[in-house]
Amino acid sequence: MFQFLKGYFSSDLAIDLGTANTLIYVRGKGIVLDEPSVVAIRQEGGPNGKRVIQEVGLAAKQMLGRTPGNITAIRPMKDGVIADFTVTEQMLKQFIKKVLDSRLFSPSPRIIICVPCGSTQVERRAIRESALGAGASKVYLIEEPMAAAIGADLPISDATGSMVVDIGGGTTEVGVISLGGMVYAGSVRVGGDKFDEAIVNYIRRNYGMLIGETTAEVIKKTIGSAFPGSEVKEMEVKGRNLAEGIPRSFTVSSNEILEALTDPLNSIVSAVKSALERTPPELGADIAERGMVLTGGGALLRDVDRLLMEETGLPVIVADEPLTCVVRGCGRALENMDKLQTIFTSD
Amino acid sequence: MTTPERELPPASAPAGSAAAGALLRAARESAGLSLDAVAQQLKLAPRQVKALEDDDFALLPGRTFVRGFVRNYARLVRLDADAVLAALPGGNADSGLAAPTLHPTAQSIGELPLSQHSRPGWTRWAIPLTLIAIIAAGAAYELLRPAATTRPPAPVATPPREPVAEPTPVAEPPVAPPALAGAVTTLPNPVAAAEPAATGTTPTPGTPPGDRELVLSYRDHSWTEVRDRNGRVLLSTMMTPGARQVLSGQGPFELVIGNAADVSVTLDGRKIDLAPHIRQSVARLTLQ
Repeated sequence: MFQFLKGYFSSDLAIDLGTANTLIYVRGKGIVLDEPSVVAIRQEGGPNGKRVIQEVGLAAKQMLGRTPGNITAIRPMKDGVIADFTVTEQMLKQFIKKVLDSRLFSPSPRIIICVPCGSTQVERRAIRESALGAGASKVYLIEEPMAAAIGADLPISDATGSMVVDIGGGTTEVGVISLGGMVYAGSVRVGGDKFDEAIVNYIRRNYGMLIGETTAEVIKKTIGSAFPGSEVKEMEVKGRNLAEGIPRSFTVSSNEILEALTDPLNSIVSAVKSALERTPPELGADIAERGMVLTGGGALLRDVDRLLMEETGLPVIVADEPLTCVVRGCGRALENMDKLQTIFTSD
Repeated sequence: MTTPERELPPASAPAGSAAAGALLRAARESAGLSLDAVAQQLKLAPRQVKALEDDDFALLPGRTFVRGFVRNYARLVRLDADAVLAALPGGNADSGLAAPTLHPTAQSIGELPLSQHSRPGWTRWAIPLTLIAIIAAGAAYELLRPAATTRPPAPVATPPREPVAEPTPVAEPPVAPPALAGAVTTLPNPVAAAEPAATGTTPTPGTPPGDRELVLSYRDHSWTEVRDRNGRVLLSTMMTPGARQVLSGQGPFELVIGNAADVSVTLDGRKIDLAPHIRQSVARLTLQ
């Protein structure tokens, strides 16, 4: 009887607190926030100068690598877990403030928040604590592959195996799900950030040019690919020449980026293969029939599904809107919280 | 391949455009690819590719997978994936493309016993039966106690009394036959043994010889019970303030007096001090 009232007054949230982007889903409204997980902190002058938050989200991301000495733009999440506890808490608080209109009697929301399945208890506790510190009344944790599978509309509560590979900013999560539970969960700390890093290193090594991570991300999104395709794309990039110390422009091709990405892609492939090795045979047969589903931003890398298809010999499909799969899954879990008690992790 | 063209489902395709399967089939045939070659490229079984081309989604694993397969297929034959996906029927239940429903994951239809061996039937009743037996035994004891119990006289030392006899206003019938009264004199205290003889010399009129007189007077309400040496109840009632009760019988008397602070007791004209016997306003004592 009070469920209706509770639903009316409190606006529960589902949060995908990712390394690259934070997405927030509000019950009944859908996805209301999609911003980079970046915080810009300014050190105020004077003898007792405080550290204040200058910007959060998109505005802060534009400052990355372009800040003067008194401002630091930092990404408080690293490898899918919290690297800077206080900054993460403040960032969450700011994001929640953005999406919840401040009413006089606004009850604190219940929050579903997803965690990488490879995260330790300490890391999970940190995420739970920071959500509580940001004003949650109760925090439910859900493992990322489970959320991604729900978001991709996989039949998770049926007695069939569904395999989901979520390539996020910091981690790649591989999960095999059946009957609402994880049969296998694996996580490697390789994701979009490692791709950017690999591109930066490749260009410094082969061209003697230094580029920032933001530029590397643009290269990855524009011409990056994971499998040698028929067409070769090229792109003009500007960076600082290490020998001359002067900014120069040069051209990279998609084949070179493919070469640069070989190492991180190989670790994703081996994570998928070891998941398949450890999957019980009946579920393996289900996966062979249906294939695995790619979600997360990494699934948008061109031909990453072709790569996995060729490496495993199984059908690989990319989910609709892979970037929002996890938060949509969290949101669906939020709407069906009473039905799906078993999918939340206890710690 | 020479698969015959099937009737396109009219309801599923948007007006003016072909169904997704037909688009894919046409693109594949124009590219000169066989069904098996496509299946090889997409890592699917040929029957799955055929089902895709026939729009027979019931044979395929579900909405997400169908959309993914169609997207991969469209990319292989260089079609615009979004256009082909748009030609897929909507997610209604009969098209086989509905989103999977989420069943409750914590439902149960029964519970397994915790221990491996289930207990035999009779032990299931043993605990309640034992409890009922204990309760019944307790109740029976409480009900039958006044008739069944005999108490030994409690060793309460009483000071020697003066042989004072008060005439009682109410002449009570003797509570014990005189034949029994003779047996009373077997008391351990030689002083007490001597006294019945002393009192016997000056018997109170109306009081049988050997009987002793107990007078209780009340200043407040009090529940009082008095038993004589045979355990017979002489008095067991609620007394009102101002009442005075005179009892005669054979000692020793066993007294339970509620609200004892407002009751004064006189035995054979001698006042008894109740104070040492009062515990939580109830005095329990035995008068020799």
